[in-house]
Amino acid sequence: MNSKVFFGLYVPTNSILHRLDPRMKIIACFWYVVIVFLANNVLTNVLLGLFLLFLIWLSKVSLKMYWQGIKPLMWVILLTAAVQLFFSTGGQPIWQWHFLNITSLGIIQSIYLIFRFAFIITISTVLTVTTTTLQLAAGIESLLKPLSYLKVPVSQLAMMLSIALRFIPTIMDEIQTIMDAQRARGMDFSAGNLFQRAKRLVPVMIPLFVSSFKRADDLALAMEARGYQPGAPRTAYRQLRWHMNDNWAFLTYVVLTVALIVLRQI
Amino acid sequence: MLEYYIGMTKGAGSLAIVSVKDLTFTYPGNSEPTLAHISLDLPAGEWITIIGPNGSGKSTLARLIDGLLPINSGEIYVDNIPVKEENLHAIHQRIGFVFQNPDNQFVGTTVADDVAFGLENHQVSHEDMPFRIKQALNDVDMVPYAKKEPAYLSGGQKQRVAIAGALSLRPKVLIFDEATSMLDPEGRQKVLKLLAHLKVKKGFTILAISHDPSEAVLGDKVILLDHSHLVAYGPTNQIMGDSELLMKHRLGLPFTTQLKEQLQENGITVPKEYQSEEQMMTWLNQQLSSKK
Repeated sequence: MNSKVFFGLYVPTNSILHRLDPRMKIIACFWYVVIVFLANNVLTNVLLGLFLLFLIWLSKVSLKMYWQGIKPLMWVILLTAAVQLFFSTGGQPIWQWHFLNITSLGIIQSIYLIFRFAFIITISTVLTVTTTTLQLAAGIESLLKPLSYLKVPVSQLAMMLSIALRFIPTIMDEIQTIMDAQRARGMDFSAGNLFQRAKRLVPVMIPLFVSSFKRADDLALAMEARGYQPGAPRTAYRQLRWHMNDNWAFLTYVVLTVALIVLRQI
Repeated sequence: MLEYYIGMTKGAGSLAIVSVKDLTFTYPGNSEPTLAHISLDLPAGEWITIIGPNGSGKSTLARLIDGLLPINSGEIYVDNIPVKEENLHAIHQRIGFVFQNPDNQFVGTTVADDVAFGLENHQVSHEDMPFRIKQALNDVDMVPYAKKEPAYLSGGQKQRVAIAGALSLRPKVLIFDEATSMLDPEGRQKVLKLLAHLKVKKGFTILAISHDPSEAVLGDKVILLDHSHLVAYGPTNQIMGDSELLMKHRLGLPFTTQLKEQLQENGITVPKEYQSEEQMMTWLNQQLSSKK
């Protein structure tokens, strides 16, 4: 049951990062991704790397968890780095074969690329291990609020997001039940090639769609009975609070950005 | 078609919390009405059960009372407010509705969030919410679960949370649309006990829809619907003891009524009214000792 409820990577260690406002953490994550692209030399990359290690240390989550985040994307990283390595030009040519060549600049660029990837994946892992999906949704809603002035139905979108999150475990259970029912009728989901296996999921997906529509219908009725009117003003039970620590986190980011810009010039 | 009507006379408005007047309802696209010329009053503070075979219009009636379906013809008043588009917010606050499927009415990501959902809709202030949530969860005995996600709860617990969600809005009427039919026996017993408690201790009017004769006997009055008509409306012991009426409308008999039916076949005269199992036992004891 745990895996279904805590989908995602949230690790409840209650560190200082866990207690930060989700809005701060989302902004910080985005901003870090932006400044990763400003890093252009050894010093700036070392700075970003050390900062990331500092965050990992603060999060009290084991390095293994972060490695789990990078591992599935290892092939994508290596492939992109290889493309960069073999196709980039400039610097000292070292090796050449038909259209493939390795240059000194290419080597440096692809090493930077690997680091960039690792940094981006790890910072998003920092966000997801320290923030529950519920907080993430609340943070996103709050950050998108200005869009409601442009007639974007932010609160309705947020309601949809939170209901979607709420129903993931329920739908997972449903899939299990339907698959068991099909297995009882002699279906084998594991045999055959990829295409055959995908085809066998059709008798799972159709009942799932039917029951999901039924659920949606029931849910809409229940929500109406409890006074929900789309677009009507509502009060909020969960309110995000901006604490002193969030100010400190913000300041840290300003310092980091200034330091990065200075080190770029060297 | 009305075989019993021991309700209240029409227009006795002050005591009736819900009053239905000549209600007819046809679903769009159907030629036959689902409800035809229904008139009835629900007295405040009582537990009324609607019984009837499948497709007799039980759920439709309940939904119309809560304004979840638009009324075609006729009138409904809840707490003296006409059920109309512009009053729906007030109607939804006065009626707490608990549906059949425990999963499909759980909106929040945790128990407390789910109870808060209705409060948010009715714009209860942020400061008042924690108290009202705690109070409602306390009424259904679910306070220790406040932070739990629905995946950790049993069906009966989810239904109790749904009841807490309804109670948090401080309604006057609670409608239960087969709210126990998907629960295991233990969960069902707990929910039914809770209903009795809410009626007696908190003075709620309860309107329950049920398939199960053993549940119908728990209330004060019974409404029998069949083929979109009101067939009977009267005290529980009168209707649930009438095996002829129940069988005619393809309904199951409560256990003691079945027993009496068989005693009667063996030529034993039995009282006509419904008796609970304890009452039946006392009566049987008396019969046996008087034979000696």
